[in-house]
Amino acid sequence: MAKEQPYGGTIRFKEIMDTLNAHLDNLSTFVVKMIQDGITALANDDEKLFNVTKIDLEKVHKICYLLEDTISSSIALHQPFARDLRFILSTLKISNEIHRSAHDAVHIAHSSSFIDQKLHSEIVGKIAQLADKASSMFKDAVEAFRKRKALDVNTWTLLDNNVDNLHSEIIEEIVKIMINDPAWARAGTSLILATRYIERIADHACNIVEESIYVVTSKRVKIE
Amino acid sequence: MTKGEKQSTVNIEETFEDEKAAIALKIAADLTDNPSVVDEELLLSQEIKMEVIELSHWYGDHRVLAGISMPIFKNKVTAIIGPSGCGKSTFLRDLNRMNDLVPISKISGKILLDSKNIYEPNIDVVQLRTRVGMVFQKPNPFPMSIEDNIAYGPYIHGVKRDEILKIVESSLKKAALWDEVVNRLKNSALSLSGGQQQRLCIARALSVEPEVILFDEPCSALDPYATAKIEDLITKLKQEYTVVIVTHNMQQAARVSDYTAFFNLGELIEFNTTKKIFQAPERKMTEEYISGRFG
Repeated sequence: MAKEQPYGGTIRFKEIMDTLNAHLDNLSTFVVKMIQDGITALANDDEKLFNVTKIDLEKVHKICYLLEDTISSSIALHQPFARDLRFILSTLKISNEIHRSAHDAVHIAHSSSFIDQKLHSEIVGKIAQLADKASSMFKDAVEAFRKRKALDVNTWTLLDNNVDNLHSEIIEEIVKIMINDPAWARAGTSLILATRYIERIADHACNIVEESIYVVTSKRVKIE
Repeated sequence: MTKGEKQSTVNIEETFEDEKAAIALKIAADLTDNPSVVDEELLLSQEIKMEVIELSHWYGDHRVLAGISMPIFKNKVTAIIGPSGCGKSTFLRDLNRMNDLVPISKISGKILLDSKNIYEPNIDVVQLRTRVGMVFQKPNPFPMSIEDNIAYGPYIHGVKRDEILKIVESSLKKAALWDEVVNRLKNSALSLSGGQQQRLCIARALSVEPEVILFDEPCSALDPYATAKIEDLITKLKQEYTVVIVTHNMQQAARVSDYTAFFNLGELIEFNTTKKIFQAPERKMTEEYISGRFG
């Protein structure tokens, strides 16, 4: 039996779809690195890394621009249909999710400006754990989307719940510290925001998984 | 004291607003590197195979082309689009002097092939048509075998028999037809399907080693599958040949070409990269035509 072709259309359309995939891969690699840098900046109180994430954000903007341009060309010049059309339209949607995740990573790194990590490294450790989960979800979601795989909704609902629970747990702990030590209010607020940004990255990952399911099955499902 | 207190003058919102502004400026600067925005640089960077200079064409008193000037880039596919009667087929036929056979036809201007005017009196028209081959709208194989269809051109040009057999094979391979006909080369060409016949005609054009291939509505008589095969073939052929295609199918022009010229009422309205023409044309008339508002 012949191997299933990833895309329909002409040689030129296939080339353009390969370009689209390469842009997505680039974006994903950048954003995962930015999330890791953001957490490292937070954990090590490293402002230089905050600047690195800002520079990376510019690169993400450029790749997003190229991605949109490629999407526009693929539609205007090649008139895709069915699964190829769904893939292209969903790529446009997930580029927004990826772009927002990159901004979240910069916000996380920026939180390092307001944190004295000597006081509560344990909390930062938990936040790093949360970030690992979110970053891994993000990477897997984009990879599945690129490979047009429909991931299991139940598994992803569990993953999302795990992140939500850890997020709530961290916030509770931070609030307790803030109540006991009001001088730590500013740092605590920044940490709460940082965890919120991380939790949002996991939400973006879930949205990407929903899009990949739509591309493969043409059905809309929601990861609650 | 927390670090935040030390740096209480830092305003997150302000920082990100500044950053947004900086990024916006950077993107604006980067746009100049993007081919979809600045196509002139892309146009200038290409090697010109043919150049049309102030070409006008009359059939009797009726002027069908009016002062057309445009380049045809080497190893690229150039599409000519426009409404019926805009002069695109006349233009194509002027590129290898096919219109010389029309008695009331008259032209002015120049068409350069490798910098030499093909309308100079000393030009050998048969030689010119060898260099600039043509594939027509309707597949028109000769009523002979598949092999002889290809062999005929080289044969009348004096190529030896051994060499001709090699040409038959290589031409059919280049036209992506070899695998389908290798076991029936002696069969009549008329037994082939429409799409195969058209690829046979392309192979026949390739057999005399042209440099430029002109396609006049090559897929208008074909089904979508055969059309896709021809379009992929054109994409492959441009690696070795310069291709000009006339089509009233705008989607096909968008799919196969690198450059597009839009003609209307015998005038060249716009010439640019295909991407630019179909995504952000400069002329209002082009935009109206490609978006189906007239034509």
